Amino acid sequence: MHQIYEPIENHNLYLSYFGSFSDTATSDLMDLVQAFLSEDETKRPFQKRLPFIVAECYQNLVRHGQIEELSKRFKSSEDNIQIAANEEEINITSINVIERERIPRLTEAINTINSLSKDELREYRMLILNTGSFSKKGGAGLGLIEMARKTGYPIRYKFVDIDDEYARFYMTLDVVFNGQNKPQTPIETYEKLYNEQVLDRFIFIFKGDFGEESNENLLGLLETKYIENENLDFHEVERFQILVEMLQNVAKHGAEHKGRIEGTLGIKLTPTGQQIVVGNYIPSAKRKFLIDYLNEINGLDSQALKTRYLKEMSKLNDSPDHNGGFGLLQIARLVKHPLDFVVHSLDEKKHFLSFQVTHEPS
Amino acid sequence: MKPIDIEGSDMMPNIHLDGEKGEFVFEGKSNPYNVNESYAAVLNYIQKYTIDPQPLTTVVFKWQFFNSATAKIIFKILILLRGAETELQVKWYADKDFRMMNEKGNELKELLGINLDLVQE
Repeated sequence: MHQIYEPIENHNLYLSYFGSFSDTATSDLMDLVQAFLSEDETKRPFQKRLPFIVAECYQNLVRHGQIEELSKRFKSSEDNIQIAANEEEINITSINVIERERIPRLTEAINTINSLSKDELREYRMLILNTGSFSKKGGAGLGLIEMARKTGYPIRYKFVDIDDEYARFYMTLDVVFNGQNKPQTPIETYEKLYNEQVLDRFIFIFKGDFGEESNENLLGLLETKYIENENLDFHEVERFQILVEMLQNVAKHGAEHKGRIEGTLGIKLTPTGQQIVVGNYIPSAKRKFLIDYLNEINGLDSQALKTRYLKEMSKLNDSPDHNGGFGLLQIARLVKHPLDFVVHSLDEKKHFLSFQVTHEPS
Repeated sequence: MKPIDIEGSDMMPNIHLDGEKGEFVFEGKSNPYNVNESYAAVLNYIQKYTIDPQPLTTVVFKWQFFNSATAKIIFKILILLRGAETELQVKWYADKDFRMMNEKGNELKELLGINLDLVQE
């Protein structure tokens, strides 16, 4: 996990999403970005523009993910979108497979767009609208023009050959907060992250605010990923419920860091299931209680876990909103493995908890 | 008591509370962040209902999924109704393949000793 998190250590927001993209996912993702932008004054002016850019990026993936020959050979689970923000900029990168024969035309289109001024872009857009010069995939090149108009920066891109027929297309769009500098993070950073994440079989990574609002958006996005599909898989529902318990626990019991409940979430595939890793700050005062409680849970067999769970549920005077221990019992019952955790000491006030569970069909 | 309908949301189920008929229906998902606040009106309604309940009270749960905090609310609702002067019938719908949901229904039945029918779909 370390090599995955190190390059995003200084990012305030980082999200990497693998898989097919639905309209609902787009909307949840936009809400997540909106919540991030509303965090401080300097980013609020970008609130209107950025969701649009994210949506266009998504649309790009959706359009090209629908090509029949491609979907036969390449899994949509390797399509990826990454959103990364630090104090200076936001980079939105989409990664997908295209036919190599499309590269010259796409390169020409992007280079043309990148060479135009703001006014020229507007005229070019009108020209394409009037002449109906649509691309084969229905994008009309309009998506690219719109993206360039909204960001105000050249579209960055890269093709990496996969074989004689196909290539991977990396595209990064940027928003720079102070408006003067060029984006600093090279597109290769996201290419490297993508390669490492594919190798480690990640399907989702998030670093950012785990507070109430962001938490709801994040859960909305994950719900789309796990549940809103035609063939409902109850193992996926269980995994989603584990995520709900983990994320709501962080939101309620995590310590503040940089003025928010900061944390990381990584979900990766295992040979027969999924592994979920959450990292967050905890108040040092809660450290001993938490370690003792987790060790106690790990010492219980499934019958004892059930008894303990029912006992906790029966405590009528407990406030359900503050009983994080009950959520941990629920997780332990669903995963049937020890709850792995490591607590790192940071300073007198804060510790960092890394908590990991593996869910496999029973 | 006049019936109340609460429309579901991303985090809450559709809820139908009918004190005149003695019918309470919960359908959908329940993952609210603040469960106490989210269910305050429901608990309040049911609490009032238990003062002068119908001879027969039916509670229908058709959960898609719910968080652990909601599990405590479900328990509270059933404790309230179990203690009232009424014959309590609970219908707990669950897909036969949904192990977790079946377990939860059985556990409530076992724990509370109530008349709970597990309706497998």
